[in-house]
Amino acid sequence: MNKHLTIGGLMMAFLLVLTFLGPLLPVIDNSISQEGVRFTDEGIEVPPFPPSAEDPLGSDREGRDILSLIVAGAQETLLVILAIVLIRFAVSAVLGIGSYYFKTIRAVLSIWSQLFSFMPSIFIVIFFAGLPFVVFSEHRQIWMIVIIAAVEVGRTGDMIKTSMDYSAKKSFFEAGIVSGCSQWTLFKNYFWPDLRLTIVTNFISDMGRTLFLIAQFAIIGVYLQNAFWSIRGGGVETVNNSFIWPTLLQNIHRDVFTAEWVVLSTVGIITFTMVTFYLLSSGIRKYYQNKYHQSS
Amino acid sequence: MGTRILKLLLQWLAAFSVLMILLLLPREVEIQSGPSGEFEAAHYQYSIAAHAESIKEFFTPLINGEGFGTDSYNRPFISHAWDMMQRSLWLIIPAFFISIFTGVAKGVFDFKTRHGKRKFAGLQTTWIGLSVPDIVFIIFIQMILMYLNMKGIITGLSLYGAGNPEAIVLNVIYLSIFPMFYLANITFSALSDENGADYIRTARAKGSSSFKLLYIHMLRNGLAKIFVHTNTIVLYLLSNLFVIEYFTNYRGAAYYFKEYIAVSNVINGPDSLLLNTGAIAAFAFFFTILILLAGLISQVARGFLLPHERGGNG
Repeated sequence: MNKHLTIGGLMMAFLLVLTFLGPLLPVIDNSISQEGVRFTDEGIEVPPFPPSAEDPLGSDREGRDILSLIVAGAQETLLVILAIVLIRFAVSAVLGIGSYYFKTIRAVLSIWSQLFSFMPSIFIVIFFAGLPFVVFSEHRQIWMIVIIAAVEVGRTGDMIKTSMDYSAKKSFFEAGIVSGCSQWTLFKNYFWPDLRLTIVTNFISDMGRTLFLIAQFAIIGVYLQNAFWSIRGGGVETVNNSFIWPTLLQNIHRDVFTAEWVVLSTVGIITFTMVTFYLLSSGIRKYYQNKYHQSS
Repeated sequence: MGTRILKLLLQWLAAFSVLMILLLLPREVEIQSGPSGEFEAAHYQYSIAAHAESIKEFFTPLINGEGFGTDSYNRPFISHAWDMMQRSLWLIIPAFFISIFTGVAKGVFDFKTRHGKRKFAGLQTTWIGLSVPDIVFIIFIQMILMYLNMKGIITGLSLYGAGNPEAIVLNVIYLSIFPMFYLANITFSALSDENGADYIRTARAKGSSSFKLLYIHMLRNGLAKIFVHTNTIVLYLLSNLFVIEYFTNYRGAAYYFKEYIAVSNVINGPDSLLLNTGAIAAFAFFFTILILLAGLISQVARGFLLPHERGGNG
């Protein structure tokens, strides 16, 4: 039995249920209401409230229920990372596969991957996030998704190219050439089976990595989406206005001492999601390996 | 090997130049205010002339020998960046070597225990380390230390800020966690690949001991594959450094680089989104040099380790 695939599949099912059926649960406050002070028998309580019957995972500094925030943010979080990885892999598939056939594309891919290999992607994304047209754009989230996708295109493109080069060196590939296959048949029957496995497994594990990257941005205060709040005396302040999970980590410096439930539940759900993707990725790899190599 | 090193130097030069051109993008915005001074809209227009002007403004003092400029305390940015870089090197260099040695050791251990019950201590833990984000380990270590502190078992540790040895030790541990598991995984697959090779079968048939097989033959050849990843390791180290320095208030190069590169949240005039290009250029210079050095080390190590490169004319 493929343990990784089974457990990963179950965890994925749980995540999807949380995302789509979660809002229907009675404990979930879909309006994400804020709460000021609470009067109890012992006196007055101010947020952040620790976990209780009312807020199963506690509340944040504005008195919003953490469990509701997680459910409300699930759909957006999954969509954002899916969009990032989809764009990344669409571009890198074109570049990676194309670089086997065309010299120009090979040059583009190699410049792209070398350019970004001298700076950690996190710095590059922060830099782009601060450009005026990204800060003030009405479509900031789309810009950010494209930027995060783009900085790692070099890496994934290289990976696809390596997989192609690897297949091309094998003797079964030579057999294909000798037997007179057309370029298309060669691609479909000789490259694609291996390539598909590389793309699918890395696609899924990249979703986990991307979630972690966005979490790192939130810790240092770079958000995918901005709202503008006017400040007295002119000017505006950019504030986060999305519910995606990582943004719950924005006060991690203080929360880790005084409201550890915020940190623990956010990090918990992010970890759960990352482990899910990791399990699925390794499960799918095993599934195909067992299918094609009966001996192992 | 010489041409490869030259190629790497040229790549660095090209990448650094492109980063500088991006950095010098014009950033003035036009802010449109309402009757009582409230924000209404912002307009931004890119022009090549403005971009060229900003590049010229940046390079004129550089050519005149004034360097990257000075900060508000009149300290040159380049020496400030170098001082902070030294602080960060106290974390990066030990973390680099610790993650390489423990990572390779863990990979060898995983390989030796790949069958049977000990797999749980080997492959399974590597697997957990790779899939669980390292911030989880960091938060747990911090919480355990805080708990011990409250119980009075270990007290007086100062975990935040720079300059105290315990903060450095802990930050080195935090930094090495992920690269270690990453390398363990690479080492394991490198060893598994070598395992089926013909020369191993030959060596085994000739009666070499399994110790010699693993450490002399397989690891030696596997190391070449492992050293391909030094660049990735350094990139991981640097991007984690950034989160860890920020999280533990360790004021090193990554901390200040982030301070300079992230724009302010408050926008109240046309210059609000301007960056301190001199400071960023100084820090970016050291960071890219560090990555370049890692690349060079990796090239030299490959030259010494790869059997067909040792004998070849490179």
